[in-house]
Amino acid sequence: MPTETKSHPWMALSAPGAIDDMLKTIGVSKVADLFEQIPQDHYRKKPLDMPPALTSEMELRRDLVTRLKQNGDCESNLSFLGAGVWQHHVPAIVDEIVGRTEFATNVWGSYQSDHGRNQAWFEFSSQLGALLNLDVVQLPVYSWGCAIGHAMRMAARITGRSKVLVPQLSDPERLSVIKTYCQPTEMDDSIEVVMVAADPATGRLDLSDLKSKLGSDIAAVYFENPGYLGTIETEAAEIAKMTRAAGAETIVGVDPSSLGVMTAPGDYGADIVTGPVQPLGVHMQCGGGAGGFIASRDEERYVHNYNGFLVSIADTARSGEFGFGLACPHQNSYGMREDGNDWTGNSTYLWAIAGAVYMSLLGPEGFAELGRLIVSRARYAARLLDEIAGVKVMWPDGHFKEFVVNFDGTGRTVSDINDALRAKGIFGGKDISEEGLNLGQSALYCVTEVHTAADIRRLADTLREILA
Amino acid sequence: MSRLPEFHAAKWDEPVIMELGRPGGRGQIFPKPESEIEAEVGADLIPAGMARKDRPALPEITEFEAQRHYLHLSQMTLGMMGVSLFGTCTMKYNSKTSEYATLRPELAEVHPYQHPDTLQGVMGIVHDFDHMLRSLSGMDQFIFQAGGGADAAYTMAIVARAYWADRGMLDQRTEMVTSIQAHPCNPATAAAAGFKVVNLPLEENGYPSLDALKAAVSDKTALIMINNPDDMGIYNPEIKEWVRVAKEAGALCFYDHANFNGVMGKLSARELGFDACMFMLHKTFGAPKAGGGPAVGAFGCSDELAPYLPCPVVAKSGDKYILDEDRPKSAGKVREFWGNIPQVVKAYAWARGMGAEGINLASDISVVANNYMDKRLSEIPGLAISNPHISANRMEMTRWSFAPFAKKPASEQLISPIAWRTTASTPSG
Repeated sequence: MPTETKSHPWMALSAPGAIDDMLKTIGVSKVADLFEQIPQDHYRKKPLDMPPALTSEMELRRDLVTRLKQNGDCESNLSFLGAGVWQHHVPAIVDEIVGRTEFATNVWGSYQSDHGRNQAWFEFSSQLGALLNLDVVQLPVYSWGCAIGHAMRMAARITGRSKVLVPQLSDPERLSVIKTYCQPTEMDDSIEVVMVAADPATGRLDLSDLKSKLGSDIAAVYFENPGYLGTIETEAAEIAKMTRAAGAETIVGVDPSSLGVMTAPGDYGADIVTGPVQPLGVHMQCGGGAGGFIASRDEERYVHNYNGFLVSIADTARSGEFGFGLACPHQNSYGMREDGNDWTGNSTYLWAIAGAVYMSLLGPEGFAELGRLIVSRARYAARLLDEIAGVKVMWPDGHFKEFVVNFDGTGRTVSDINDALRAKGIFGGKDISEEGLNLGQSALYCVTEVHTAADIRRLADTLREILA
Repeated sequence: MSRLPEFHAAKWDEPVIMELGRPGGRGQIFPKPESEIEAEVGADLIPAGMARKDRPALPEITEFEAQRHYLHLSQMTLGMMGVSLFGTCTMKYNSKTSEYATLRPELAEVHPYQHPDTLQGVMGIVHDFDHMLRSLSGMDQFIFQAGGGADAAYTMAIVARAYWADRGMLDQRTEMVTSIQAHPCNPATAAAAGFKVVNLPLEENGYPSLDALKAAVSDKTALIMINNPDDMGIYNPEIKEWVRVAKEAGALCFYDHANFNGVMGKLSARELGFDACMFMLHKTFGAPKAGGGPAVGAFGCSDELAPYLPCPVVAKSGDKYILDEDRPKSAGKVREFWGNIPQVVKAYAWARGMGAEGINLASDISVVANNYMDKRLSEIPGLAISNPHISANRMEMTRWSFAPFAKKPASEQLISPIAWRTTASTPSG
């Protein structure tokens, strides 16, 4: 009797007879013989409890689409949510390229077989390096928060110190990841995270508080530019100078969508730079578009402390020819297991390809246009909202694409206001009133290039109506 | 028919992107701000000290050139939607149906901070898939925040850290035990989380001995991390005893299910005694690996460890799905948001498309095919299976040695690409 199988569209060897043919060649009579290493009492006792199979593509597709349609999305609604994932325009060519089977593959190819992918990765690093004015960019890690965590651990290895300074006005989501990476103090090599106060008048880092905390025990100072609440850190060069004077590393977090109009971090003294890759041509995907980069100057102290993949270009043995390969491949955990720098694994390398295509499409002028458009529209939104009775925009003139809107004067909660907005097809800013930032009933609004003047007026008009 | 097919990637003489285009070339143009915006806010909105003065040295190319260039690079890549014989990665066919579904705006243009009422579709999928993985593993709760198998191993390390800290025993339970055969992410993530790593050597039978384990575990052991079958494809028939010994010493037991493919539907990690396990959705569950992510390490654990899980946890309250962030004992986040959600949706689609029967069949086929391949490779003169003295069937993967080839003259070192890909080591996790 042949082994009974029902052919499944996704498994070539499920066609009747295929298993038997292989068993014959192997020289065993039944499939179970090949599992002989598993003792009988290891087999599961409880039967699998799975929903009925949808082997028909037609049925499966209907199930997926029906379920996903229960979501509200930011195309059919007007959304002002940001805070770590932002709604940006994704050029069609980016979707085309990252959707290519060769890149969105089920395979992990070898470096020899995937020369094109390696080149695309190299081009991601090179172009992002041009935006940052830094020469070394590692392939992205899981998220921005993870990138910051790894960067802090790099700084601790480099300096031999175990304390980092972080802005009080930090994103709690990223901060939670940072704290995970820096470990609880019970562990021997933990890193202590110390908060630096913000200047209430500007939302920027309080330099006197920073100075008082900068000592010989500080491994790194971390700040973001623009900051979590959208503020532009105008004293970035001074912070880097103070940090260097204390023998610590300056780690900066930047939003790459700002770098057509904002100074590159490599130009104001940043040593290690981190940031999100999602703004570089990746859809939000409910947070699935997250990825984080780490970059630095091309100096041994940094290069030898990366935890992941560095893709480099080199001449081959043939004159005039070049190829791409991993630089310092053995210093990460693949090469040295627990003795390597930190650890690494599958990450978000498809987004490196998205980023490479995106940056090449924009070029220097595209980034400048993008930056001007975002900052203009965000500033316009802030002005319009600030005019509404009871509504106050914090630090109205010092932000890039995000800004804080305070509703204390309306007597309403952000949660209540957002519910009312949602009923009218608008996703209001992220409610930050419970984040311990002492900003009252406030929301973090995000305005990007996708928001037209009419969209912004619709928001202002709807808010006015709700608050009347 | 015994023809050996040849294949190779297209080879374009493709310049680096920086060498393409000419000044003024544009691949994307953004509109100017509307006149009312310009009138209201003016120009020069970045404070002088922070306004960029130089032009980033990016290429200046047209959309057409960008598309052609990156199409060439994709064609110079052997990534494919078909057969991969790379060891622990257990890659498989990825259906286009699930790709199609996740590109829709109902998922692509969704923000994780939207009100949960507007996320019921995706939360429902996460919830239902969590329950399928619970059934496959016997665990009580899954989360999908980890961005890959290594991140799931890291999740285990920090959950263990929180578990022992909660008991005031973190200064005592300082060690993690694994095997030298385990994927590097196991020792590396445990070390990064602050644990001292103990690596057990392999014995003659292909796995570490029980005696070695007994000697290694003690009241200092915080956790053990094991995969089984291991990365040589050998199933450790003493695994239940391993778990018993480790638990007797008080340690937590983590089943790294990187190699689940060969045993799926047949084993339950919980029934074997494990406290936690992980599945790689980007491999075992039919979501693409994508050249190294976006990936997902689905992490599941027992009720005892669940309070320490990273947040949020998708739960159901009445008829509604909710995001549970109120978990005071949580170990903290390993990554922002809930995870690579499109990959979870693709994995859900795969599991729905397969059903219990299909999943069992896939495991049968993978083990049969692996042994068939072994048999055929053994017919190639000079090619040797690693550890030939071990008689156990290699499940789901095998290592082969090219040592005999290396001794031959270069002109005779012709190796089929299939054999090469079978044995090459691969970054995983």
